[in-house]
Amino acid sequence: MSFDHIMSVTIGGLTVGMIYALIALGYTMVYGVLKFINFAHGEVFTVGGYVAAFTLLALGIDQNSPWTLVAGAVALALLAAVLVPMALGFVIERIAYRPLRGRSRIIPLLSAIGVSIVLQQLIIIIFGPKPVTIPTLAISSAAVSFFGVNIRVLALVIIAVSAALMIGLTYLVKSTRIGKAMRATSQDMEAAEMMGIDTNRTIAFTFLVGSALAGIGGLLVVMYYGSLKYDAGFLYGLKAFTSAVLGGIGNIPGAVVGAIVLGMTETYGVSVDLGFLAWFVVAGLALGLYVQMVKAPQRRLAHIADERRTAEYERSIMNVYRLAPYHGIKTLLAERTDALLSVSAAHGVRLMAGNVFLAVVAAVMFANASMRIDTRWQPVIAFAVLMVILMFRPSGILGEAVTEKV
Amino acid sequence: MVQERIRKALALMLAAALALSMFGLTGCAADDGGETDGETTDGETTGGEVQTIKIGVQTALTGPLPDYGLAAKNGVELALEDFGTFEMDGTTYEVELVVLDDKAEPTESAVVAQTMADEGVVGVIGSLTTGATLSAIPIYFENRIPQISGSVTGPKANETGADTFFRTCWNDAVQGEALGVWAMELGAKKVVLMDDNGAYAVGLADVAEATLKAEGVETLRQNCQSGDKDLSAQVANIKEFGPDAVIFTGYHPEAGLLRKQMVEAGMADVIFMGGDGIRSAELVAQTGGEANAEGIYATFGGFPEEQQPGYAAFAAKYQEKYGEEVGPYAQNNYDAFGALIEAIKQAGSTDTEDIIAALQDLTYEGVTGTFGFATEAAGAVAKGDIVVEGLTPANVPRYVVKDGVWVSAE
Repeated sequence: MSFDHIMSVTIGGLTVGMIYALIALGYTMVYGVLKFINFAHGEVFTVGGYVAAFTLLALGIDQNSPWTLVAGAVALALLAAVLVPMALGFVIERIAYRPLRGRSRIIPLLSAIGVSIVLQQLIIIIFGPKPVTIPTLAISSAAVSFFGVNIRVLALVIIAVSAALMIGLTYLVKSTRIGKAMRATSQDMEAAEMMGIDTNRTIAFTFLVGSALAGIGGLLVVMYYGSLKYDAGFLYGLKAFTSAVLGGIGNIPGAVVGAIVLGMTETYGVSVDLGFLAWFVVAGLALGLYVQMVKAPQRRLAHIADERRTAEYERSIMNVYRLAPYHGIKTLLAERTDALLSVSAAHGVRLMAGNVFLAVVAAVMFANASMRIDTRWQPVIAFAVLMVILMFRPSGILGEAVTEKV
Repeated sequence: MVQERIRKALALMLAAALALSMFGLTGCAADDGGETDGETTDGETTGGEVQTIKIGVQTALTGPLPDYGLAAKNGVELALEDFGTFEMDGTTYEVELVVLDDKAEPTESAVVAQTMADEGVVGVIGSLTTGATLSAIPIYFENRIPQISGSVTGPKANETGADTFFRTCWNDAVQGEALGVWAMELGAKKVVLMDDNGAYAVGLADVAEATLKAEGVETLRQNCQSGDKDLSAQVANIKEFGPDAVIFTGYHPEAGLLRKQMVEAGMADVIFMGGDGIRSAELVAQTGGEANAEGIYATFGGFPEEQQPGYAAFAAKYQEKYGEEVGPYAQNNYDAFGALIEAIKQAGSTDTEDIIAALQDLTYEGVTGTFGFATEAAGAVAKGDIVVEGLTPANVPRYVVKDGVWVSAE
């Protein structure tokens, strides 16, 4: 386990995560406003990538082209990769979703799956089933050295662009007129309409922004990996959607955090040894202990009515959390004289069991410190971590977006 | 209310139209069968009649390897021109191809195989990939339909020993061993084997790994999923292991990405090898350009073209008809079709049981050489494997990318 190795795995995971994030933002925005999952979003991303690739190919760019030409071509490709998906997103919303608005939520969902299949076939029909490949450009293979580790400039660009877009988007939703309209529409479409907000326009705008982000994602993927296949949108879409749920659907920073967690888990899980991974479990254990010892008792204490608040009662609540094996089980076994106390005792014992489990896992991992997980387990690990997170926090890491008052 | 009714009526009509169209399709299929039967009786009484028989082509025109799929289809279509009409017992037989696309997916492949059986084909050329063939073999076996693949090279393809399965390309066990031997000839002491979790790639990597380990070479096994874009975790692992050679046994899309990402991680000087799955012209573009692809090695599951007796004539025909270079395994598929027709002639019958028996005894002079099929499994050889005289791991053909094109590495 060299520093070199950890660095390249971290950058790799971060880059993958940020690409998921760009797509996840589109899922999360549409969900935030319409409470509906736009399954065709992954294909919009693929179209963005294809349009960008064919723009670069049409301009005849290769590694020998002067950099001014390359910069111009990339700018043009970016323009195409933004405009075409935007138009596509607009059309999809107009013909496949808007006529179904107000119906049961399952109906636009089916329509979205249909659109996704149609788009994928259209990509095959228009561009052919072969993966599209672009020649390596100096801009996409350039690397900088960071403490002796080579990092591709494009990886840094991807990370920076995603982060910047996330901040811009948060600003857009929180602090602009159209963002206010989006939040109002999300909160109550009818009421928003009565207040004079053109909800159709607002929703169309949401689709435009989401599609543009997916298009940028497509361009970056083509530039970074050099090729794209017609069905790439399926897997990317699935993982981006997963990221959005993981981070808390409807929550813009959440989508990015979820995407980073997913990307990191995918790469870390299979390329560092158990001794290193165990530290993540230790961090989880520290968090678990903090919850058991401090956070959970504090929360419980806040529920005590003033007339019952005695020092002794407070101490017994603390005890069932902090000394769960003894006081907790004792309280559980004793007659239920106090509802709050017995609920707390059960909670405390559960938390402790979770912490003991984490400690055992960490110990086992440290005992096999030099072992490494087979790459075959990559998707298994990623989704196991995901399920565990969602089990403990069903609303996602940063929580589902709660519509604030406009 | 009225609107609602109109809508309901429309939905019903649409559903009815759908149902009808499906009926229509199956109806057509049944009609075809009827006609064929009619002609058979005609043929027996009057003689000199034309009878149509169906031969299936199970390939993958979409999915991950459309270039391989198209080459296979082209090969069979060329063979159809040459052998598609033949006489037997005074009856002229005309072959009609039933071309179906299995997208190189196991689930799709089972559906295609069932469709072939329902279509009443007397034999099938295909499928294209080992993974997809695994789910088709039991169905062809159940329905007693002989199946000859020109490109399924996976050692695990016919583990069940179905007597309906034949192949005109080499088993990968030969290539796996050859890759291991070649890597050692190149002086590799530490080798990474990477597969894409598909049956073809895993089979090839297993054999190569066993060959290397037997000689004391240190190995590391890695995998990815077919369709993966980001291999940074694997590349980081490879870099840490510090190998002399990487053998990627999957197909060219992932091979290209792996090579590209390895070069970007500063491992341009590590020997990069693969089986026939990477020996496609597409690979060069997928590695990001000629510079990255330079020096990639690949073995191939067949003798070099110049050693194939009928290749020159075949290539000329292929060029003329399709206006492009001969695609991978096109000639093996051509031979598969030729061998199937030859077996029908020798059986003197279009009964599939007779054809299967005839294929087992067949010695066929094809474009790739003179070959037969193994009647029993022995060692790495599976039942139905092509039997070629004088084949050893050391004389398995070797190729290398030079200036952006695959050339013989001899």
